[in-house]
Amino acid sequence: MKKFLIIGGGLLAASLMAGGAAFAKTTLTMWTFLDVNAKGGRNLALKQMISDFETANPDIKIKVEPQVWSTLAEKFVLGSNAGNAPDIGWVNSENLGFIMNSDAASNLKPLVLDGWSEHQKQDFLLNSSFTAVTDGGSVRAVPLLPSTWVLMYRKDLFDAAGLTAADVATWGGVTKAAKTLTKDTNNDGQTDVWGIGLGLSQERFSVTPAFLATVDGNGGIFDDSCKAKFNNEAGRSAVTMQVDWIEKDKVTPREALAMSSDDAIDQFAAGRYAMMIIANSRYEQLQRTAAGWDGAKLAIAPVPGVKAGKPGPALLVGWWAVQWSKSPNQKAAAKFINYMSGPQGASLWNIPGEQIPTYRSVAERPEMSDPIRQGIRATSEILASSGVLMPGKCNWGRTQADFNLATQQVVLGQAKIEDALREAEQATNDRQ
Amino acid sequence: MFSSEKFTPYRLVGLAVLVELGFVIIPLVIGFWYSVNRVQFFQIRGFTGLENYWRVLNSPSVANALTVTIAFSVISLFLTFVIGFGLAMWLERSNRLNGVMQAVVLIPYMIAMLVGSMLLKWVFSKESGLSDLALAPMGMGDVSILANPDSAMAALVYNAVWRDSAFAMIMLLAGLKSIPAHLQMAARVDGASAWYRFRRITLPLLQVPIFITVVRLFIHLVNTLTYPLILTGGGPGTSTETVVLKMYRLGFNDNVLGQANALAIMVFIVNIALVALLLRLFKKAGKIQ
Repeated sequence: MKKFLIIGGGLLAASLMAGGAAFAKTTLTMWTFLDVNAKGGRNLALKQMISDFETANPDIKIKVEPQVWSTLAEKFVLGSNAGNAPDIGWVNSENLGFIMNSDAASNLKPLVLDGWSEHQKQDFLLNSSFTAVTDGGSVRAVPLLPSTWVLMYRKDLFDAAGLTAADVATWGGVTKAAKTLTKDTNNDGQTDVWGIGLGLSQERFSVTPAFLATVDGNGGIFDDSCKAKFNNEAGRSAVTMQVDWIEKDKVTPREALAMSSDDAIDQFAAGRYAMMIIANSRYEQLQRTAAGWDGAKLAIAPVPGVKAGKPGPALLVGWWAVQWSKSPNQKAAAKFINYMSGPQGASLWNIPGEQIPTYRSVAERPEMSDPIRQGIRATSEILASSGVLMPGKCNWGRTQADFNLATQQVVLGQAKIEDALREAEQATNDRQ
Repeated sequence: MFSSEKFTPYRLVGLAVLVELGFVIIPLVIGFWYSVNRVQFFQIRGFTGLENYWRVLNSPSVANALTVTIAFSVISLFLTFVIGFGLAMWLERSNRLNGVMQAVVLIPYMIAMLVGSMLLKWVFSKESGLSDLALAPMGMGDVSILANPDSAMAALVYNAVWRDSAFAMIMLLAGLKSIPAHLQMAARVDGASAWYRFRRITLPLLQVPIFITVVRLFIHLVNTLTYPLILTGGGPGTSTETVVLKMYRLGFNDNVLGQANALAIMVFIVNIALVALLLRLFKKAGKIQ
């Protein structure tokens, strides 16, 4: 009996081991701000993508670990330093500096890009974006979800005031239109609708008109060695414009000094502003949450230019995939990044993800002409005509906050504009 | 060998020492190591000696943060203590109404700091808050509390007082309850006035609870991050940017971990010095043994 049990046990163990080997899976961990268990187009798209990929590659399993979006890059580098980063990480454009200045990310050129066919390369709309993430021939990231900032405005208010998008093609035009649109609608002595909204807090900030006007008037905010250079005529004019909107023109509430970008967007949705610079990815959310006005009247215009005849810069930003350089699953991770950034992945990001198409073939499919995708189409056109890349190696993740602080200091009379911008330049340089 | 009674005290203390080592001493040593190195993008790029300390000490924004912290802490401490003491005196008597009132007063303290500060931010916001409803009828419709440096500081102090008065009340109420009732009764029989009883009985017997409350509150106020981060974001400008908020921004926003740790080490030393100073002052005044 004992002998029988020993032999039986041995056979069972052997069969389990053999079975285990037959079904061995590589599990890839991915850090992203998306959550496949949550609602929303992008979450659904990722869920579908993982399901399709796992079906096509039964030996690979994708494990998503959702993270706070604002610290993804920092956590990835810290994880790499500690030896426990995920196989794949997502990084936003503003924080690519972390990746480009560390050894945390693999070179994706041999792993992913060299495998792209000539047709795929021709079809891809963001080939130029690789210059921002290429260092010494190594490509550290692949774009997944491109986005940009645009001028969003309420068409109902524009129509009532006899204004069109052409009237806000320059910042001068924006100021003029904002004066017309700022109104006390119930004659109680309080402004009910402000011409243009700003969120100038140093926490949860975003790109503001001053930042964009500086990039436009200055041709960027860095020199070739990532040294900040905006304490000049372009920077001073741009910050003065924002200061004047609050102090002189009274088209922006003073409360903007204490508002985060999210606060200001909430106010825009609540009908308190006629115009605002907002990330295109907020378009659908704003349409949905518009209160007291018809969300269908939300319209998109290119970023205004400093001079007439040339639109302002549509900063090409968004989310990139990076692969941990010390991942034990280099080939499998590269395979999934290739899938997410390839035509099949791009198709899902577009629908149901409702993101800007990254391939011409996706952009030209019939679904894109649906009226509900008017926002995506408009943004795609703006990116195609005036898309501008920020240098990936330079850290500009908090330079917008430096511009906000400069504006605040000038409004409050705490500093002259030259001193405020010098301080902002210094703060940006300290982060390089 | 280790099971002998001789080692029992070491075994009992050992766990606490290990916890202290893991959560205080080792992070402190790592923090100090970072503070004497150039840390860029979370990677140590070279030993810099005391350069980070020098840069922090010479930074005008750190000097401003220090001024803000002193103003915020001292004003908040004074108001929190006075209100907490007043509440404790008021609610000392045991009756049904006071039982309910104690629970009501404790509500701000029971609410998470983060949630409380977010609620107050909505209250003080001009565009969507209740403050506008209160100020507009008084002809102050244009006043934006959070966009004005002085009123933003007042709002920050209000946040601290609103939440922490309950803590002061609990501590002092416990002290008041521990004073033997017969002392007060005897003084009353002898014809002592309420003010006399307060000065000669209540205050002397509350020395230790007062000391603990003041020290605990002061350390809390000097080191608090949630109030300025959530309510005012350090603004407008840098008018409510405290030292701890500056430290947080240096470390987690600007990613200059060397400077952030240099500031953290200095704040740590200042904290110890403050407690030692308070202890000395109280000892000198004969309030504690």
